[in-house]
Amino acid sequence: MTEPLATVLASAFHANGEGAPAWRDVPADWGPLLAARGRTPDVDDEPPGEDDPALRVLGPHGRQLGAVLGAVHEAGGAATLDRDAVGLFVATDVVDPEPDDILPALRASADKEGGFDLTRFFAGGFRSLHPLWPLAQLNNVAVGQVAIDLAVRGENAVFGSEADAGVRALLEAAWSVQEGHARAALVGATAPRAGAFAEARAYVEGWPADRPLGQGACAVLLGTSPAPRPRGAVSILAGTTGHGTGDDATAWEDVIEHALSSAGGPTPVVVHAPGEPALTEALGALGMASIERRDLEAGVGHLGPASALAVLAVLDARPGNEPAGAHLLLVRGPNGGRGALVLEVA
Amino acid sequence: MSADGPAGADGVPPVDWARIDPAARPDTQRVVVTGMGMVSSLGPDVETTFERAARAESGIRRLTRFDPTGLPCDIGGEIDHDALDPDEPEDAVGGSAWHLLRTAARQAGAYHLAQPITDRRRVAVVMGGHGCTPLRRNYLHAAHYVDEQGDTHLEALARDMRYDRHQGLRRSPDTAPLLLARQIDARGPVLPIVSACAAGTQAIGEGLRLIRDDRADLVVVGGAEPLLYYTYVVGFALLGALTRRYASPETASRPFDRKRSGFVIAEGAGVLVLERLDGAKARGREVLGEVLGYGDSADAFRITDPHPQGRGAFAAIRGAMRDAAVHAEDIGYVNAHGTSTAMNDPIESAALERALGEVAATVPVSSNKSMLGHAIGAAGAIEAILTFEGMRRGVVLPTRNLDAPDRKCRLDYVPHEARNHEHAIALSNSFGFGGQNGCLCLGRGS
Repeated sequence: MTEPLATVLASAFHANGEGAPAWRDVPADWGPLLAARGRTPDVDDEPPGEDDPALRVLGPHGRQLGAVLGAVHEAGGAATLDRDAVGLFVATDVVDPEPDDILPALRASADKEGGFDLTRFFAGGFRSLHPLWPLAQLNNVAVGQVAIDLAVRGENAVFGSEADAGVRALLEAAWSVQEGHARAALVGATAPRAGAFAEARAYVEGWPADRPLGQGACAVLLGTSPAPRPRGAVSILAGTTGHGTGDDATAWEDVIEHALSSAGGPTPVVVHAPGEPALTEALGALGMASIERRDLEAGVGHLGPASALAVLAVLDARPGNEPAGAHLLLVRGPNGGRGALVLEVA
Repeated sequence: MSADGPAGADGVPPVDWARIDPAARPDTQRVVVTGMGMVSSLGPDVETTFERAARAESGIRRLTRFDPTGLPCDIGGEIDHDALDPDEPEDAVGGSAWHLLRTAARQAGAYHLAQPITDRRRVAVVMGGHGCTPLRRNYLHAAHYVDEQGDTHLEALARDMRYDRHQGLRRSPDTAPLLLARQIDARGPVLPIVSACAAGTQAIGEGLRLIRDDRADLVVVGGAEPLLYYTYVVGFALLGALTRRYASPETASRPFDRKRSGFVIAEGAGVLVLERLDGAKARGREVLGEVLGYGDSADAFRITDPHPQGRGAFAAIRGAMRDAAVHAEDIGYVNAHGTSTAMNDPIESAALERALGEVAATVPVSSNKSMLGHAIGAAGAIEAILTFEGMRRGVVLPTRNLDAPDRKCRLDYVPHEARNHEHAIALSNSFGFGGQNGCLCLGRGS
């Protein structure tokens, strides 16, 4: 195996929302998350006051993101580093408005047929929109607010917007550390899929109505760790992202082969991946059918961009409980984007 | 942060920026541009856009895609999508974001330039942009199925055939870059960057890193942004970021001018093909320019305002110069972010004065947005292309509408008319909503 690009120094997660498969509902196997190394920061779920622009801009997903990034920032000692040398890499989903944010304006601007009347909107309907609401719809603005809160000023990027985006954020952060551009890098991701508009968007695209969308945010702090790394330490060896249609086994083979070869060709002891037929076919074609396979999403719901970070947080929160060696982490988004990470559990 | 790098105030050695030394960089580490394509409010390609910009023409006009009557800002840098690519109209999944990106990518030669790369996993796509705008009618249709308790009646919504089945995919920033990756058979990393106004510049910077870090041999980079739909325009208008005072559309965007009052939103796309220099030579490619360096930073100051001393902007500019190992006296031109907002222009000017020091007053600085408007996630890519084209032609594009500079803007902004000016190295700035900053150091690549 190659030397790691970066090692997880701290991890955190947060789950939120009624009706969502929160972490408290996951199988007992994941229980140590609640008490072990991974942090579960408190998040104020109350709607922000009119006079609190920071919370207004963050929105529910941003508040979760801020909480988990703040937790790893503190736990990993990033606050003691030069602020210009701490990177911030985040994966975010499409930002959907909260119904309460816009419905009053839409209703106040409706014509007799229920359509939208521009004249009514500018005659007064628009006053129901908070002035900062449009800003909060930009994918990166919550990240900017987190950077302010943590005073982190180093390299940064925000990636959209499906499961593979989390892999992208992790890899770019790891490379930033490995290349010396950042001393340490915060990586966060959210699954902001709560709310009527998000549910409507997912539902009409085929998401089953009886299968709740996952909710939550995860974060890790990446840095360097001297060898030998402590038992249970989780490092990123290599990875890649790719794409293909949902039933495309070849696309899975491409990303798996590429990631493993970049990592020096280790044989994984565990594969963390969704249980889809095309992946099963690809693993069989690569001679990896017998390797243990786990599916985080079966337990916690689809976490979108946060899926890959959730697996890292699980591994990091259970030092010594996971088999040592290479772990292969695979994710796929609904538009066919795929991500593969090769991890080392010391 | 000192001018030359992180101070290492935590007692540990500072980041070793010096080990990235382009002077000692072999051809395998040098990243050149071999293709460029563009769609802008000034024209459907690079040549038309550059030539019209060199004549200081404006692409800003009253909006036609919807009736803007009643909006506080009824102008923008609009593109006629129907005129772009009649054989390949918009499709339901990719929408106008994909239409713009595909058109610019074809012009850039992305489809054929990537063909000789036999290991398709070494071809990557990095693209700035935020997907298609959520449409008003989709909100309205969904709103009909939310009851007074806030519960959504999904099955009833799903039966309503007026609700657009593909709007979720169209809105996703991933979709257009992934469609491009599929069409050119790029099986390497696909990185959609969503860093607001800095996204296009960050996409080029990340593409540079992919090649330098030996993660790719060829990267299609840039940005695409189809912004001039109702929801986006209203959103920016409500923010108060758009200009509200203008005598005519053509005179509304006036960066660095005393009478500026906000930016003019625009749409567009810019695509560049980046390759390792040794690969470009081996394939006999014409080198159109070189990406010498990249710097990025976060303001970490205030969500609605840039840092008043331009701390983040300065860090990004110096980061790009340091990455490129160039000095202030090497810089021949700066393509400014230059939004025409009250806050950006003097702060960017101050950051440039600090970064360029004694030579700042002698370096031409101009804003393409004075003519094209602000294409948000595509702006950085469009402006980088115009910067390369300016170096190739020995021309610096002007800042239109700069009649009387703000007294806090003390640089040479090339007012009104383009200037013949041979230059080999330039900077291109992008500073985003939320405080994300990016700067590219670009070379003529001769």
